[in-house]
Amino acid sequence: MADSKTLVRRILAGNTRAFESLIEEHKRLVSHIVFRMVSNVSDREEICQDVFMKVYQNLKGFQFESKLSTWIAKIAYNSCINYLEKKKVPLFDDCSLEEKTLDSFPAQGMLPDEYAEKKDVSRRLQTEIDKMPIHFRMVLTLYHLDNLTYNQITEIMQMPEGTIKSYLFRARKLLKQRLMAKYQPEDLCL
Amino acid sequence: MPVTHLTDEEIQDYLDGNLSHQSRIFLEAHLKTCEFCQVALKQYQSLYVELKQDQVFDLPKTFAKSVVAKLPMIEKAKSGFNYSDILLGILAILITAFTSIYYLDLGSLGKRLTHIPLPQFEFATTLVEAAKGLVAA
Repeated sequence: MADSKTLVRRILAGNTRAFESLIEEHKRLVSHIVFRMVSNVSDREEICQDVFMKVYQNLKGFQFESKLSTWIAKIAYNSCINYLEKKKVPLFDDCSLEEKTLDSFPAQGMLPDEYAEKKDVSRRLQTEIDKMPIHFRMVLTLYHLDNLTYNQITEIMQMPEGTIKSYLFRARKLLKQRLMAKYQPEDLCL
Repeated sequence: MPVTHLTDEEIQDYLDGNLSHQSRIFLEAHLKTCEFCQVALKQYQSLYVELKQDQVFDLPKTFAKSVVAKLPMIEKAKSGFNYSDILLGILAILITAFTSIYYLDLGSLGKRLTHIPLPQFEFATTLVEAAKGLVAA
């Protein structure tokens, strides 16, 4: 926390190098959120840039009531929600849980060696995640990829902890079911 | 007698470390004897490993520099708003007011309206008279 405070103080004093290191430190987190929520490839980088511009503009008002990374993640999440609302993308579509079965996806040929098989499972998993409702994708990413706690995810997504836990449980169960429909149990045990 | 297997929720809670000490001991004891649940656990373990793979989220190496390069634009926009926008607003109001007075002759209309007598109990009649006067003018 002390490091974050020093960093913020330096940025507010006009040190652009300090801001550059803030970006380097948090761009992975921001890109995870933006890339998972926004499917339009050409808009992703611009949204990431906008997020850091907003961080810079609002940094003066940051009171260290939460971790700096949580605050930045919240800005990224809200920016994506605004973008999706403008594009009229449904934020939670329960139908997609039932309708998009594995049969509707293009078939992918299984390659013979184990490495290729593993790559295939990974690719399949990414495809399955992208087909999920946005909130499911988000909790999976924040929990597993960014190792955030339930409390932090609750703060970022502004939802009760019970809802976050429920999304996480349902998302993982659904992923397992979908992968099981394609692969033999032993293929999944990598 | 039907065999009771672990639920998805129990396996996930186990992997997340959300189980109490007692529940964990019970679950591990069950896992030692149940092949079906062992497979289910391994599948979830694999899924957890895969979910940690960070392979598709790449921003360019120059990303931070490109954002920093845009900062002067923010500063300019910030400082520009306070002065130029307010001045422009005031100027627009003044131009509108002067144009209205000049073209619509609102100055003389105002004078005429103030000279129309308004008796206390004949207000409606007076208004009609005033309107007639304006039409005649």
